[in-house]
Amino acid sequence: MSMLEVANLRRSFGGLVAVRDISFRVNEGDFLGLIGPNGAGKTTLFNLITGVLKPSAGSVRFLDQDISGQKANKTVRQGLSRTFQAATIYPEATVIENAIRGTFVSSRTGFWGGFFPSKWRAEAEEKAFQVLELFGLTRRVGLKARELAYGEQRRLGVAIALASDPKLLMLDEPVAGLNPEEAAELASVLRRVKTERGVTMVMVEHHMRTVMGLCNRIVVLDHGTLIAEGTPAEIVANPLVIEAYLGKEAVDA
Amino acid sequence: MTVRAVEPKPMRYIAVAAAVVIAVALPWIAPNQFYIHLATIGCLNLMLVLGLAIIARAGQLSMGHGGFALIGGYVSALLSMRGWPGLLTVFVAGLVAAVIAAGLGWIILRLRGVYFVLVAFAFGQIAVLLALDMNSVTGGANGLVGVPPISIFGHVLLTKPQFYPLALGCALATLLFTWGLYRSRLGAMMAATAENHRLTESSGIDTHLVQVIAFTIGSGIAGFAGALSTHYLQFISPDSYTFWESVSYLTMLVVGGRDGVLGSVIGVLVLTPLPELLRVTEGLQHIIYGAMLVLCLMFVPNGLASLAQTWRARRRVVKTGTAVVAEEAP
Repeated sequence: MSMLEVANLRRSFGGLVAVRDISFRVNEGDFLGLIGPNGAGKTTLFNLITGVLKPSAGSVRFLDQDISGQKANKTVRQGLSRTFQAATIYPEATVIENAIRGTFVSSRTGFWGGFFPSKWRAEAEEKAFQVLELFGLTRRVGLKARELAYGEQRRLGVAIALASDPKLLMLDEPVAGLNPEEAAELASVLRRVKTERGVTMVMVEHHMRTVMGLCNRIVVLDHGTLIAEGTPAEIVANPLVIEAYLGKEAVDA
Repeated sequence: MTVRAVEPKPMRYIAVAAAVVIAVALPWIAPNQFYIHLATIGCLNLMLVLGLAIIARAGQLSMGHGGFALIGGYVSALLSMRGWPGLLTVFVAGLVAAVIAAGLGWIILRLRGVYFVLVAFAFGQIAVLLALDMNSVTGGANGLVGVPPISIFGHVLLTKPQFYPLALGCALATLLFTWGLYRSRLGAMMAATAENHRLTESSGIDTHLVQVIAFTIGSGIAGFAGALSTHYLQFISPDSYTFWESVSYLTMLVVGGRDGVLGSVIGVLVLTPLPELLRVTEGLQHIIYGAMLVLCLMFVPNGLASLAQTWRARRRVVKTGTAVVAEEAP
């Protein structure tokens, strides 16, 4: 069953077409990798799907509902959560508070029930703690987020997004800037989240080892256009992809 | 494993209780009526500063705060001069200010940072100009004289010791409300919005709505406090709440601290009587006042209340530090 369906999506900034008529789908249970050289339009595509930007044309359907151009907070409530490349945490709040803020949507307490502090807080704390446990951050709950190591901050960012109990989690370069060990650790956490919670995932990433190791399908963008789609093995062998990354001579050679 | 260390804080309860007792007993221990007047002004200021603090909690700075107090003052004055009971009109005034804030906020809270500050500032100026120009209703520059005092069950609150308990009660209620709000889910959403609105939006929160609600509550409190003050002084004019009043509430908030309700209380306690205390220096008072503000901002940028927090955090680090060492020791 297809969870997310992107059809002829386009976005232009003035004369520049950042995303040109892209169509693809994400099936339930997928771990889809979204790759492409710098400036290929990956983050723009992300922002279009999650409602940060409005598309110039085309449509996005999530769980058979049209979500194109819909405000981000509504999309999250329908079960599509995302992380950001930068500024993914609340630096001045404690780690547990960070995760609690991620649970706002998934909480069962209604808006007005939230006026009784003990009620909503105990529930939110429990949920937040479970997510932090998954990411190995339970020993850090009392620290301010800015006091964490960089790798831990990145993990916390993913934890916040996961705290909303999404059906589809979209990760924008989750391992960027991490050293190989940290990257491998985060990859294994993501794999666990996938199997334990059954969350479908889409990931923008430059780190090829992570993408190849995690994703079952890959979509390649170049200059705002979708140039290839397939399994990791198909993508590595695709001459168009090699050309986009290494240039034409590399293909001819 | 517990997430938060739940330890009883008897010292804090004792301190709060002691402060409330002193505030309640003030009319009996004050040497003269001037102190009661000062305490009443302090209560009114506290409500205004808390209103501003609630808006700041959601990440916006309202430089038009005085404008809402002015609106509240005029609404309550005009209604009560037409025979409405003062006890009712102060709430109507708060409601009117809140409704205006909700409408205005819905439009202008899409602006962030300095743009919102400018528009809110303009709103405050417009409120003053309207009060000046609508002669037939507001009495123009002369203002409204002879606003009837509030009466509760036939007791007219005319003198200073009579009015003070009402002001104190309202200030304590506002304090309690704000404290509860900060701990509620909405309060957590407000703090999250202020710190990283894009991330909060991506956690499924309509950050615009959260800010409109905060602006509505905070401005409504300002309208209510402005109305109370009008009945206390039995007078309101366009000069009652100008831009400089808005600045002084902001100063109290910043000097006291923006993190919790304690900051607002400290800011009001320090800055309400300060100009009076400095009066003995004859002519130097503005210079000393200004210098003290600059020093405060330089050395305690997070407000005087943060001094207590730094001290507490230092104690906590020492405690957990030893705990970790004990845990990791073989």
